[in-house]
This record gives sequence, structure tokens and C-alpha cells, in this order.
Amino acid sequence: MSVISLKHHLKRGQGLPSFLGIKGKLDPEEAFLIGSRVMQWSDEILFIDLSNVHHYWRWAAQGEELLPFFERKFKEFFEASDLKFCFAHHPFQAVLNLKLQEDHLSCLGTPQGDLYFRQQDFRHWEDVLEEFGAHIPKKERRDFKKSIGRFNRFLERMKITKPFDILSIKQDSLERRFGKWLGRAWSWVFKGFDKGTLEPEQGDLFQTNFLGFDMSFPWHGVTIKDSPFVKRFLDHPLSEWEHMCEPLVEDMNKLLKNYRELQQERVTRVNWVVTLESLEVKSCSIIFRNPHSLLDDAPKFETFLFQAYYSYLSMMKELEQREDNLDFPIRMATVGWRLEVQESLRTAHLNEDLLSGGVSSSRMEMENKLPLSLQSFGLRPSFFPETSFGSREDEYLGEKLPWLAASKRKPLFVFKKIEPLNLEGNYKRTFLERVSTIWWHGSEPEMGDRDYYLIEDDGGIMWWAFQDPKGGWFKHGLFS
Amino acid sequence: MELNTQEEALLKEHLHKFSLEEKGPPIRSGLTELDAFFLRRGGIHYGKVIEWGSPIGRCGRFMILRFLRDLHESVVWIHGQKEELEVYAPAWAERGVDLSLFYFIRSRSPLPDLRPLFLEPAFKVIVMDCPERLSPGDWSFIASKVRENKQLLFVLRPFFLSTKRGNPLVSWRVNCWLKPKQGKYCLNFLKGGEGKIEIPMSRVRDT
Repeated sequence: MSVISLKHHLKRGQGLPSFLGIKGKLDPEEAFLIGSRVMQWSDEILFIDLSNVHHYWRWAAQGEELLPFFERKFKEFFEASDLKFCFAHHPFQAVLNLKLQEDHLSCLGTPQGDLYFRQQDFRHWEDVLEEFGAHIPKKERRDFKKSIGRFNRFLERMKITKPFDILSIKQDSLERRFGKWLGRAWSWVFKGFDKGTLEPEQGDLFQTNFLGFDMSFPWHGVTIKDSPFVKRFLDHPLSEWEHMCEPLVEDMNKLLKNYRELQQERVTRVNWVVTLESLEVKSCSIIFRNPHSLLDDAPKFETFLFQAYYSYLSMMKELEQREDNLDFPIRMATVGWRLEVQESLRTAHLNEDLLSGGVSSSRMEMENKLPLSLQSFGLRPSFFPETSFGSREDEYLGEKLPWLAASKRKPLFVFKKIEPLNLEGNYKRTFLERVSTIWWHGSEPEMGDRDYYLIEDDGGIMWWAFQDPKGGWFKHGLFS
Repeated sequence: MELNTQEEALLKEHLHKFSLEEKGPPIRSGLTELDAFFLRRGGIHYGKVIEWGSPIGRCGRFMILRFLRDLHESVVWIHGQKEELEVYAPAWAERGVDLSLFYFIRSRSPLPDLRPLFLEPAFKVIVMDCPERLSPGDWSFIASKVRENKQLLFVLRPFFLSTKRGNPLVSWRVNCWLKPKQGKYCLNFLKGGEGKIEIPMSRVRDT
């Protein structure tokens, strides 16, 4: 006998989707209690991007599953209000779900949430697309409105009622026919549902944007009311970073003193608008990967200075590249700046801040100091090499999987892209295992039966390689 | 000269901070002959730097995992290998690594890019895998910080180390590679108790 639970629950180790949609009467200022990036979609719906506060909340949950933890927090924060919450992989999914949602809470990624979402038809699409039209650039709105009409006629003619009935339609085909915004909206519906989703890769050093965020979505964040700021006009131009540190620290202390509420907040973004000697104004975003307490960083502001340095370096690189073709490149000195807190999480009255220590907490603090995020991996219940692990630690299963034993003969590093291997000259091969195709995932060309070998070439280098059923050799990993 | 209580406490703190004498049992690999070599010079302790020569394709990194798997401490592995290579987590897990304690970051020049990692003991163990270049100043900085923060640092080189140029700031310099035909791992100690040892591959892999 099987037991069916009607409560939303994520599988053990499964990560919570990165967006939260809230429907109901809620002041956007109150949404900053949950996340630092908030967008007002319509009068009754707003979104919160949880990607940059995820580690913080997981640490605050102290081992509790995140979904029940948030359910408890919602009751605590918004006690009296009649709000509906939906966790989704993309804001567009959240709004589609919230239009029909009757329950207090839903979550994509849970069996119930996915089932409910998959069964949705196009009834509310027109409303949602019209609301979406208000967020795209003005000059494109007219064409977008026309394309909605054409799209509706196409659905009627083809007798298509549910988006999940026609998974085979490609985004670019829709973009060609109905314009880029409709094509994009279509692709957003399936985010998190596709099988071969690529994990975000670690980007270049000193990048100032988060890779996990969908840049194609027109996110218009709610700005903090009366955002705290401090201005400075330097007595003389400064061009060396070492000389800027002292006035920057002074300004941050001033900011914290002038705006006492900042002492109870965790900041995720500070906008640093720099005025150069040429009177050109450049904006640098000082981004913290995890919500950062300025109070804890005071009075030296070491973490802040690290991120400010990366941001400053990246701006200077850009400027130097631009000025490179000049005969006499001008060393860009700074004559003044304005520091403004743009995003913060309002964690006031939370007990979590009293807790400290633990690997997770020190990891968060260290990540805020580094120019890159730390990667951690977990195992997935799959014997197929490419799908057997994920880049988030939520994926960690904790127990030994039967097929893992074979991994003892596998390399620590593998190639991101599998490429043909030319086997020439003397080499020795040792058969390791046969990996069958994941046939239930469809017939993807790279997922065929594979006979894995350990190849030792004449130079003594050892490769982890496989032979496909057609006899072709491919290198998959390198023993290091 | 007699010290007062305050001075004594300060001296104790200072000695603890910069002490060359480590406390606690040595970090072991579980391979008797290998541990015996390290024990000749007091064994591996936090605060030490080990330079490990292991060309890519010669399996020398597996031996490092023998030291890290039972530590139950957070480890950061800075990998500066080729761009097209990425971590294959199941192989690490099956060799006894607790993935929840292992963090990875890609950088070819950890200094100055990842300087904060050396400024505080957020990670007890740091592995610098194929750092591009380390100047004498960089070596001096990391050695002093590792000692001060009581961290353990492995610097993995993608080539065999030689005796032509030494490194006064590391405790051990070891070359490690696999001889697949003989099924044996070879370790050549260049500094910290010179000598060679061979260990059967099956013992490294299966025990």
C-alpha cells in the first residue's frame, strides 16, 4: 500500500527553488525580511530572488528542512495577512502558479508542486503575458502585444491547451515566429524541468554578477526607501588603492553611525559611484555573495575592502583597455565617491544572528572575501558519469550508492567536454566497466553505451577513456 | 629575570601563535611505510607546508587524499589545472573524502587572487594544485601564515621536483608517481628524510 502525502515536501537533499512569488497585499519593504532582491510584478504579486540569501537561510535553519522552515518564518513575519507563497525556479513560473493557486504554499520541485504546474493550461497566459508586457522596454510593447494575439490564434488552430503538451517546441522557433519575449517566456516555463540542465560554471575572477541569475528576464528591483548613503570629495586625487582604503573605511564607519538600522541588516550590494579626475562618473557594484553584516565587519571593514578592491580593479581594467589606444593614457585618479547601500536583508529581531560558528558560517564569511564563490559537490543517485554528481551540496546523499565502488578506478578530474581520443603508437588498455545508456531519458547522442578503459599511453600518461558501440574512442578524464 | 603574570600570558600567547612545536597526534595516511618516513621528522602537523611533485597523468594526487580523508576538517582545494578539466565528485567520495567538508576553487595564481584564504584559518587544510608561479615573497607569506594560523598546506606541482633548487620554507619535498606496469606507487623524498619507498597500488586504493 502506498501512502500519499498532500503536503509539499522536497526529496531528501533536494535544493529549494531560487525564487519566491508572493500574492496578496504586502508592502515590498516587508519582503526585505526574506531576501534582498525584490521585484514588484503587479499590484498583487511580488517576487523575491533567494539565490544570494540561500546559504544564509540554510545556515539559519540549523539543519531543519528549508521548506517547513520558511513556512514557519512566513507565519512569524506576516502573521495576520492572507498571503499565498510559491517557490519556483523562475519568476515567470511563480506568477503562472499564483494565478491559480488556492493553497497557502506551493513549491515547484516537490511531486505535488510539479504535478499541479504540469497540469496548468493556457487560461491565464494572456493575463500574465499582458502583465509581463509592462516590464519590457516601451518601444517593444506594441509588437509584443500583437504577438500575444498571434500566439493565441496559433494555440487555437493547433488545439494546444497545455504548455507541457508540446515540450518539443524550441525557444528559437518561437522567437522567430512570435518575437524574442514570447520565446523567452516559453522557455522560462520549463526551467528546472529539463533533464540535461547545465550547472552554472565558475566564472572569471573579479566578476561582479551572479551566474545563476537569468539575465534575459527583465528584473526591475524594488529600491530600498531612503537608501543609506555617504558622499566624499577628496582633498586631492587618489590613484593608488592603498591610499583609498583609509577614507573608504572612514566612510563606512560614518554610514553605520548615521544609519543605525544598518546595524541590524545584512547587506548584499553596495553601489560605489566613483568620480574620476576627468569628471567621468563610474559605478562599481560591491557585491557580497552572502548577506553580510556591516556591524560585524566594523571598524576595519576588511571584508568590504576586499570586495571593493575587486570591483575597483575590474573598473580600472575596463578603463585602461578603453584608453589603451591613446598615445598618452591618463592614469585615472579618483576625486570623490558616493557609497550607497542598494540591497540588504532585514534580519532584525531574528535569533539566527546570535548563532555563530560552524563550517557553513565560516564558508559564508570567506566567500564574501573572495573574488569567486567556493564550489562544493554532492552525489546524485545516477550511475551515469555526467549525471552522477551536482555542484550544490544540497545534492549530497550521505550514503554509499552501490555503483560508487567503481569510482575507485576513476580519475579525480574529468573533461568538461568529451572529445575524441586518437590512439596511436604504443598504448596499454585495461577494461574497467560498461556503462549503459540512460534510455529512459530519451535518445541523446552523447548518451550511448560506453565501455570504459584505463589507457596508458607511451608517455606514461593515464587517461580514463571509453569506446562507443561504433568503435570510436573518447577521452573522458585524466588521472592526475 | 622573572616575568609577571601578564608578561607570562603574553609570552605564552606569542609562543602558541608562532610555535614550531605542534600539538596533537601527527596526521597519518594509514600507510605504515609512508607514515614512518614522515615521522622521522616529527610527522605531519598543522602549521606545515609540503611540496608535492606529481606530473599530470601519474596519479600522485590519490596519495594526498590518504592524508585528508580522516581529518574531519574543512579543506579547500585550489585547482589550477587545465581549464577543460573539472572535479569528478564520485571519485573523491569513493576515496573516503567527505564532500560536505571539501570546497573547490579554480585559480592559477592563488596569490594574490585568493589571499583571504591565508589570512584566517577558515579552512584547516589548503591544497594548491598547480599554482602558476610563486615568488620567494609568496612562499614566505604563505609559510608564515600557515604556521600562524595552524593550517596544513600541500603545494602540488605538475612536474617532478629536483634537488638543484631547494625550498627552505617547506618541511617536505616529495615526488610521487604511479608505475602502472609494476602496480606500485613510488615516493621519492628530496627533503625531510631523503629516501625512496614503493607502495603497492592496491593498498593505496583499497585500504
